[in-house]
Amino acid sequence: MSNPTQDPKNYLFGGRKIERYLKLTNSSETVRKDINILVYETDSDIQYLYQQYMNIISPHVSCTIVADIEKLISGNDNSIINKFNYSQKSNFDTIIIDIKVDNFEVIKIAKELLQSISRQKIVFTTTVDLHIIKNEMIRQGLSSSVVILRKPFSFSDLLAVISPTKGKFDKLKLTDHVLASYNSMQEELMDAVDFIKKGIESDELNLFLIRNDMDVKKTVLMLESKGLSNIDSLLDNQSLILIKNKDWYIPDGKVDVPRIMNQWQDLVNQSIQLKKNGLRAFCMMDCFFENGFSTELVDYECNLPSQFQIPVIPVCAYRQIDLDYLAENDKKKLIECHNHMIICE
Amino acid sequence: MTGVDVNSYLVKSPNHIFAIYSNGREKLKAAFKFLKDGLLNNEAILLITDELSKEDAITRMEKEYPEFDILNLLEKGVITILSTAQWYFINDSFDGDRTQLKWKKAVEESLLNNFLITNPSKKGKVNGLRAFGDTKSFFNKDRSLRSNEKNTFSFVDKLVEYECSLEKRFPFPLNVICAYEEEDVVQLNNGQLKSLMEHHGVFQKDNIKELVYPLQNSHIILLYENQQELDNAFITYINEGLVQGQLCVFASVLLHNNDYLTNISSKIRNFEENVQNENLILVDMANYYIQAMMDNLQEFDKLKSELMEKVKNDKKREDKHIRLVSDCNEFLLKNKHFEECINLEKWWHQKYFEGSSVCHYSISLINQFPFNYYLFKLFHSDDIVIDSRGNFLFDYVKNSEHQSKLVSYMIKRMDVSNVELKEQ
Repeated sequence: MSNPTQDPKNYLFGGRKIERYLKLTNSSETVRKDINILVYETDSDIQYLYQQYMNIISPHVSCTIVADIEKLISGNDNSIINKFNYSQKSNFDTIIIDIKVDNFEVIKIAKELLQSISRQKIVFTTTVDLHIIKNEMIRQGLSSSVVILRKPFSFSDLLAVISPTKGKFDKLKLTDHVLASYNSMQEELMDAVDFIKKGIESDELNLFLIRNDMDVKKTVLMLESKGLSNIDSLLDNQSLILIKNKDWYIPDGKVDVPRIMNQWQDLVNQSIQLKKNGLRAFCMMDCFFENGFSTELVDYECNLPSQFQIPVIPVCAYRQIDLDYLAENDKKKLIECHNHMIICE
Repeated sequence: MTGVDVNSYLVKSPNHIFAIYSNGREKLKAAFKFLKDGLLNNEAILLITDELSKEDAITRMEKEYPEFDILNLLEKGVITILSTAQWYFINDSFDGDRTQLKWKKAVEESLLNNFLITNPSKKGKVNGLRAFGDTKSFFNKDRSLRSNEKNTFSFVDKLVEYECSLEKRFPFPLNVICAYEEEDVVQLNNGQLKSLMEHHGVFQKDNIKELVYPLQNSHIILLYENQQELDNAFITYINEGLVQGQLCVFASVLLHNNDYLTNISSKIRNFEENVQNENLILVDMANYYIQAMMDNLQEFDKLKSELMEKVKNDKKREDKHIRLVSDCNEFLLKNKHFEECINLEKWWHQKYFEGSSVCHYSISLINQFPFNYYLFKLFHSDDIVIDSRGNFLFDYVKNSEHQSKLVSYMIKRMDVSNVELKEQ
């Protein structure tokens, strides 16, 4: 065995050697690439390191480095991320914020960013003890969903935390059979709203099967408050149908698979008659478990294809505790009969 | 698997061998070869099968073993030919404990046999027993059971139970091949197949073979316990490829990390020389990783084509097999790009690859939530799932199609081992 006498990085295939030439990305020059990153970092050495790292992935990633808090708030465009409303979209896929002992106020800024754009990916970098950072985050009411990268970090550590902005439902097609699991009602409802919004944008008929203990009127108000502002007209013109899941799946106290299948077919036909592009359904599945029909549920799900031949996209939304209750083999069957999964932690 | 090859197995490996044959013809061919080698090695032999009558077996031995007086050896008890019913069953029922005792007794009897085999090369006393046990009848009997009987009793279940009461090695000089046909093995459930693997010395001579002699166009999923295991496994894969004159490709997202490549390169055979001679190619996967996150696998297509073109045009390189090990998939999974990782795994199987590829995952990662939910979406039914020692991992068999393909693959594997052992 021999050791390399030169820098091993010089051996990379296709002549992709590490470039030593570095150019500070001017914030006004940011061009939309596959992934856009905003870095708030005041240390010039670390800025240099970022540039070195970013050079490796520069064909696909653009990086804007800022050293003052104002620019962190405004990014490269004052009109973009500092206006807090629900339709807000970020210019950046990932925002990396350095936290020092003397600048804990950036935690507050991160919190405000997340309040305006809830799915914004934020990464903290720090040399401060992680417990101190986490305690400060708790004190300032910031959720723990923010990733913390401990300095010094390697290139692959950085690579691991950057990602394109992805909506959970972006990749779904109108024939997919989706399995989703949730640990909180809050997240489940957020996803339901996002999912239905996409259906409305795509001119599809939307069905929302809600839990039996959910009040229909209160659900309507809640959907309205979460961004479905025109919900009354959607209900009136049958673009959105709300039904309690027990009434849909087990109205007579038993799981009648052929009947449920017919209901799906009828609703797809209805969507076609209404000249909609198809049927989209967010289905809360707890009623099967609440009524002791977990075996029948697996049987029912396995009767559905993992991908449909008709224009329908159901999201089968499970509570994680219900999935945990299932035997491993049943869980495996459920996974197999869906072609897409959204598992929330 | 031929007798010569099994002989080689027996020298160093466990002597309770699980062999799978593609059909009955192949099975009997292997049986006669295996037993002949036993006679040549001064071992008594026992053939247990219902696939041909005793008379037909004797006729075939007389034809294939011209150097031996078959009738004389039968009379002396050096050769024994029995039906499955005679060995395993009494009144159509099966008793595993009794069969175990019979093995011991048969060996003792063979050792007491004072007959000197007229073998010009190896004269001496019988020094053990070699047996070929055909399991076909167990499966046939199950097939003939009425459906209501199947619910309460299965000959195959009993067979597996019996097999699992035996260990890989016997405490007496006995070498047994338990012979299964492919069409029967695919009827076994995952648990049964796994148990059979555990209690036989299947591929024991060289069970790291998936990394040493990977088959063409095979995609190997390597599941590892810790980093050292992983490093050792893919270093074996790369170093063996370099020794065999193959093009090896080490594709990683970690190449820019300080010390990582320095550490790996110190373990790869003649690293610098092999890199300079382009026997070993390093591919920085950082940009590929980003493209995979964006659902763009065109760069991967390009890389695959470039590598194949390179090998094709390399007139000096006789062995055109390319070995590629990549950590991009695991990096996607670790960072919870689940769908993207699944897509990349699917991509490996979309186009033929003139070589083999290894993707690895940490067992502790894939067994934890939420990664475990994506596990069976991740694996493709053409994937060869192994641990870092090259053992097939049946716990991770995706479905019956995957199992069936794995069995076919194992049979192919046996053919490869024939070539390899003959060359030794």
